[in-house]
Amino acid sequence: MRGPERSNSGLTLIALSIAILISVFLIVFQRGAMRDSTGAEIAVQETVAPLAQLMAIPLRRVEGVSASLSERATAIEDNKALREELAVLRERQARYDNLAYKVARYEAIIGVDTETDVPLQKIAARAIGETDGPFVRSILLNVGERDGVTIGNPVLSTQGLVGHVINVGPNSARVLRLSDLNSRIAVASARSDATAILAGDNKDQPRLAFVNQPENWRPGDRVISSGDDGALPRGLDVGVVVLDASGGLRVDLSSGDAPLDWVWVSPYQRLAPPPESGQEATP
Amino acid sequence: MTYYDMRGPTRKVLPALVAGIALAVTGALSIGGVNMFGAYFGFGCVPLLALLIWPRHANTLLSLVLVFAAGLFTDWGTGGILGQWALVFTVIWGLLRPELRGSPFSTIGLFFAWLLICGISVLLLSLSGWFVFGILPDFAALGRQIIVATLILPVVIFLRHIVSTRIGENEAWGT
Repeated sequence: MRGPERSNSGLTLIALSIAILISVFLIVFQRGAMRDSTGAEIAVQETVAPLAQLMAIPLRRVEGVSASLSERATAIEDNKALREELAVLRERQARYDNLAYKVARYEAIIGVDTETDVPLQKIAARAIGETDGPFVRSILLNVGERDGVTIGNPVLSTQGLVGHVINVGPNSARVLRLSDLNSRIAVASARSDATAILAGDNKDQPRLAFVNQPENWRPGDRVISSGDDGALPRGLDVGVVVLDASGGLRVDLSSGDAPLDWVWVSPYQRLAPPPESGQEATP
Repeated sequence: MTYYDMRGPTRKVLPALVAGIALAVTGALSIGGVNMFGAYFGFGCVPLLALLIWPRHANTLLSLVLVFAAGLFTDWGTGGILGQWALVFTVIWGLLRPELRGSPFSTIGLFFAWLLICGISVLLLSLSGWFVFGILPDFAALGRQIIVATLILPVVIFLRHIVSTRIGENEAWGT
């Protein structure tokens, strides 16, 4: 039986103290600093991505089994509700087709620019890692620069906007979720067009900050990206307004509680800033 | 009777290396999780298991360097606060000091050590996060991560037993 090792205990204590001090210094230097991806972070992300992708395969199967069990329990009720919804939607579809035809006619008459700034092209990606930590809510994707992804691109699931890309490696990208503490996006009410900033605070329902025209916001309003900041295109589905316990406005995210597997990166290019005054072209 | 260490230096380096690699791999896996029962169960606390079962006879300084490096690796991998997991890992390793333990953990001892690790990590993560962001952490997410890690603990101990018996005598790895 070997006895405990004590010979280098003093040296270990010194090394331990140094390691703890370095960690503390690293933490201290990040207080109030802007989040900036380093080369080391992207390199680690690139290393981790294949491993996470491998791990995601059995995990998604477990999720699938769990989801199918819970869906089976409510299948009859769901089927009935869907039939009723289908009847309503058919009527709406007919009205929508008529309206779309009318709008197209009016647009042709007055000659307005009806081009949307949401790119039609989408990059399909797999969410291979999801960090739902105490302070970070992000997703790791298996696509990167080589697939055309750039920083700032919006990421969507079938339910709605999930977040935007904050760093990109050659084969991986990290997405900041809308509920993350550092997430801020410009949104609008689809009903009233009143604008606000959707501010993540690490809760499932982010709050609406800097609310413009508070009287024009009410629970149940559909929230879309406003495109005001030029970072995201207008019209991406974000969620629905709800009230929290203190009466504050929050948003129940469309992409909130659904498991993320496949997502789409929209290769939207953010609006370029206007040229510096000295570089203006003379007419 | 005077004790003479008959074990060669490579014997001590190998368990440290294997444990360090295990910590880095679990650090990489900590970006994952599973959606079940309407909630997301992250693997964020799984690397703590590697610290709990760190070999007692692993080279001390190499262990410390690997623990610190794996902490930074986890910070970069999860995209969190740089230094946060490095601090948690080194403090926990410093509290456990595997090389100073004369005998392996008993089952009860292992359970209490795990509770201590969870408590210390919650405290350090909360303090460091509060210092940087000014808010308290999502305790529900942390709780779910601890539950997942606790459920995985028996599997990890079994895997460790297999690795230790394959690579060398089990005694040299004592928990």
